[in-house]
Amino acid sequence: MSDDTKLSSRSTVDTTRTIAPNPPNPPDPTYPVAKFLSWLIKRGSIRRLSECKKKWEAEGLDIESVVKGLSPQYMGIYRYKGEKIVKLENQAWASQWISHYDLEVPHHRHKKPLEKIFSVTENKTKV
Amino acid sequence: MAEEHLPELPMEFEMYLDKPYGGLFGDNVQTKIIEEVVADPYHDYRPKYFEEMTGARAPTVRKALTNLTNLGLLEKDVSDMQHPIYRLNLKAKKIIALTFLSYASIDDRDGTECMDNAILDYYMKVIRQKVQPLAVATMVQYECNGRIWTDKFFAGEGQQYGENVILASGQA
Repeated sequence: MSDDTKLSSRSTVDTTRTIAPNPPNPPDPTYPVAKFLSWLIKRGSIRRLSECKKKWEAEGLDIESVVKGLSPQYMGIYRYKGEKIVKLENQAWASQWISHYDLEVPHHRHKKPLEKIFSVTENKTKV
Repeated sequence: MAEEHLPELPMEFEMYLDKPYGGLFGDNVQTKIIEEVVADPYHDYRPKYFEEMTGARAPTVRKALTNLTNLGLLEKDVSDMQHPIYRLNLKAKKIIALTFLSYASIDDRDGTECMDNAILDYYMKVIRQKVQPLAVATMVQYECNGRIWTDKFFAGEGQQYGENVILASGQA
């Protein structure tokens, strides 16, 4: 087979592909909390609790309860000069779920469909 | 009620508390705004939001927003002239780069691999679709940061594997 034939064959290959990662390790933070984690990690993974509360209250999240509901190996609350500070402890876990909910890198085409995403846990309970 | 006992924030993290991108560009108003919009890219922002977030005065915030709009990072919606809304320009490549930078900032500090994970995610979901495969394999698995990505190839309808398809080994 000549080189020209090879090139011609290559251009006619019609492939479809499926590509998906394995589900991340639990616990599933749920989609709304993954949005918070995405914000927190991109803001340095350490923020004042008062700032987190103010921003995420409007999204229906009680950040203090969210943090306390997770094991300290994932997130923790610290004190600094009399203020409460939220610190993400397990970036690898957060990063996996952020990626799972497609919140890692912003895409223009994802703006609308994002609202339709449910958490793995929510999907299971809907069955 | 007794005061809640909380551990003190480790000293090495104090310097990162209010410094966007780990202090790489200082902690001026414009950089704080950039870090916030990159961190929450689908939000609609009003100037008041940034005034409260940064503690800066209205003219300072207005100047930063005008600058970021001129630079193509933000889009200004003036449907209501009195209350303009700013949105991130999601078509700007700078947004992607700044997202990676935000991960890189904590990776350098904590020794994590968040940026690598984000780049892999971006490659798999965005870049890969634009790349014409030069060879066809049956399945490839990637491992990164504890996750396994499986990439499967199938021949299209009517496609005969063998004669017309260039295989990975030997000829590719």
